[in-house]
Amino acid sequence: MTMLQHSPPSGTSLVGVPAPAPRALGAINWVGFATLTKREIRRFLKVWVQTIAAPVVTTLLFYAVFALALGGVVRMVGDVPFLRFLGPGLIMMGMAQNAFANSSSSVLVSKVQGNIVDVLMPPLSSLEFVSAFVTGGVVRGLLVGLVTWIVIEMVVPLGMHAPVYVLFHAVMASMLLSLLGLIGGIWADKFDHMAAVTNFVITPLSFLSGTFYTLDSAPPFFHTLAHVNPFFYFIDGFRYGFIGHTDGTLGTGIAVMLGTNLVLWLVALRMVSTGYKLKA
Amino acid sequence: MEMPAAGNATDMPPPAGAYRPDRQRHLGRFNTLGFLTLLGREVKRLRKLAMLFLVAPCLSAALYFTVFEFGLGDRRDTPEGDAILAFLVPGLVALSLLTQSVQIPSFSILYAKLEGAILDQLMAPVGAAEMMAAYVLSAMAAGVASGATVWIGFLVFWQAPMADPALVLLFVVLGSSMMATFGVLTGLISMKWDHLSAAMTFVFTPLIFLSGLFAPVTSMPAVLRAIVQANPIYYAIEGVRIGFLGQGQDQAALAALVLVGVNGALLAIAATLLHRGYRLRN
Repeated sequence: MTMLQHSPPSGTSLVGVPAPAPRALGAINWVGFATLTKREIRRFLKVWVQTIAAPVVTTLLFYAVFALALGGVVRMVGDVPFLRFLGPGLIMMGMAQNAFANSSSSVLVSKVQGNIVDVLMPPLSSLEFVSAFVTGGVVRGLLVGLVTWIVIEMVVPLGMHAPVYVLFHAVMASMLLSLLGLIGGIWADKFDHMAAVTNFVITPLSFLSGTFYTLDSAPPFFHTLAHVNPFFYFIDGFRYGFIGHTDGTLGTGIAVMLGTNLVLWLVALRMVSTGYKLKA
Repeated sequence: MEMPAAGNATDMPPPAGAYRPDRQRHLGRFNTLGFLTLLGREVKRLRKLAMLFLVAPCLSAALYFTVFEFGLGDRRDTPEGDAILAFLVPGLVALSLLTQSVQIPSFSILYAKLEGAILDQLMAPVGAAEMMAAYVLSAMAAGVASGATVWIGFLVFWQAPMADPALVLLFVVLGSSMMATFGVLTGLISMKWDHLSAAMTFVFTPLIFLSGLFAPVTSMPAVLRAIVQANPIYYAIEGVRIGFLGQGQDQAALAALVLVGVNGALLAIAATLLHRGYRLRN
C-alpha cells in the first residue's frame, strides 16, 4: 500500500513536471543525423596523418613518377602540357579512393568490432543513416582533393576553366564512391573482402579511366571500356573544369553520374532499411 | 624416516618430464631446429596470404603496364633502348619484389606483438640469429615468388629476355634481403598499425618509387638525380635492369658493393635490436 501512494496519477507528477512521453522527432531526426555525421568526420580527422596526409603524399608521388616516366615537362597532349593534363585526374583519383575508403572502413570496422549496434539502435531512419555516412566520405574526399590541389597548384599551375564543373564533379564523384564504400562495407564480412574489392574493382576502374592517357592513344577495346566506367566520366568532367579539354561528352557524363548516384542511393537505402548483413 | 639410497633412486624410471641433467639438450651455437620451425611457421603464413602477395601484385603490374603502354604511345625511345623492355618490365618485377619483401616481415612481427603470440618464440630457445634468419629468408621467398609471378606474367604476353640471369639473381637476393631487413626493423619499431602504415606511406613507398623505377636517371633534373642516387633501392633496381638488359656491367660492381654495405649495416642493427629484445620484451 505504501508503495502505491508514491506512484503519481498518470499525466502529472508529484513535483508538477509532465510524465515522460515519447520524443517527437519530426519527419527527419536532425539531431541524430548531425551527431552521426559529426562522428563520421571526427573519426577520420583524428587520424589525419593516415586519412589526409598519406593520400596527399601518395598522389604527389604518383604525379612525380608518372610525369617523369611518361614524357616529362616537354610533352603536350593536344595543346595542353602533359603536366596540366595529368594533375586533375590524379586529384580526382585521390578523392575517389578516399571517399570509398572512409565509408567502407567505417562500416566494416563497426561491424567487426560489434559497435555497429550503437548506430542501429538509435532512432535513425535509413535515410539519415546513409546520408551521415555519405557526408563523412564526401567531406574526406573533398579535403584530400583540396589539399592535393593546393600543393600541385604551387608547383604546376593547373588553371581554372569552369569552377562549377570542378565542384560538381568533385561532389558527385565523392558521393558515388562513398555510396559504393557504404554498400561494400555492409556487404563485406571481413577485411579480406574489402581488400579484394579495393584491389580488384576500385583500383582497376581508377587506373583505366583515362587519367594517364587520352583515349585517342588507347585501342578501341579500352575506348569502349572507358565509356562504361563512371570513373572516366568524372575524371573527364573534372579535368574539363580545370583545363577546358574533354575526351568525351560532358552532358553524357553528367547524366551517367546523376543516374549512377541515384541507383546507388536506392540500393544503399534498401540495404539499410532491410538490415541486410547489419541486423542479422 | 630414512632417505632412500642413491642406488635405489636410479633404478626407478624417472617420472615423465622430470629434470634429467644427464639428458640436457645441447643446442649448439645455432639452434637449427628452432630456426627451421620458425621458418616453417612463416612459410605456412605465406601460403595463406598467397592471394595478397601473388595475385594482387600481378594485377597492379598489369594496370601499370596498360597505363604506360597507352601513356607512352610512340615516345618509347630511351638511351637504354625501348622504354617498355628497359624500364617497365624490370621496374615492375622489382616493384613487387621489393614491396612484398618489406611488407611481409613487418606485418608478421607487429601482428605477433599485438596478439601477444610473440611470447611463443621469445620463450623458445631461439636467439636473434635464428629469428633474423627465419624472418629474412621467408620474406625473401615471398618477394622472389611475387617478382617471379609478375615476370612470368610478362613472358606470356611479351618477349622479356633476361640477358644475364646470374646478375639478376644476385641483385634480386641483395635487394630483397635489404628490404626484408628493413621490414624486420619496421616491425620491431612499430607499436601499432598506424606506425606500420605510416612507415609504408611516408618512407618505403617514396623510396621505392623515387629510385629510377620507371624512368632513366639520366633524364631527371639534377636535384632529383642526386636524391635518387642517394637511395639504396636505386642500386638494387639498377642492378636488376643491368641483368635484364646485359649492358652497363661496369656499374654492377659498384651497385653490388653499395647493397652489400647497406645489407651488412641493416642486419647488424636489426640483429642487435632483436638480441636486446627492443620493444619485444617489455
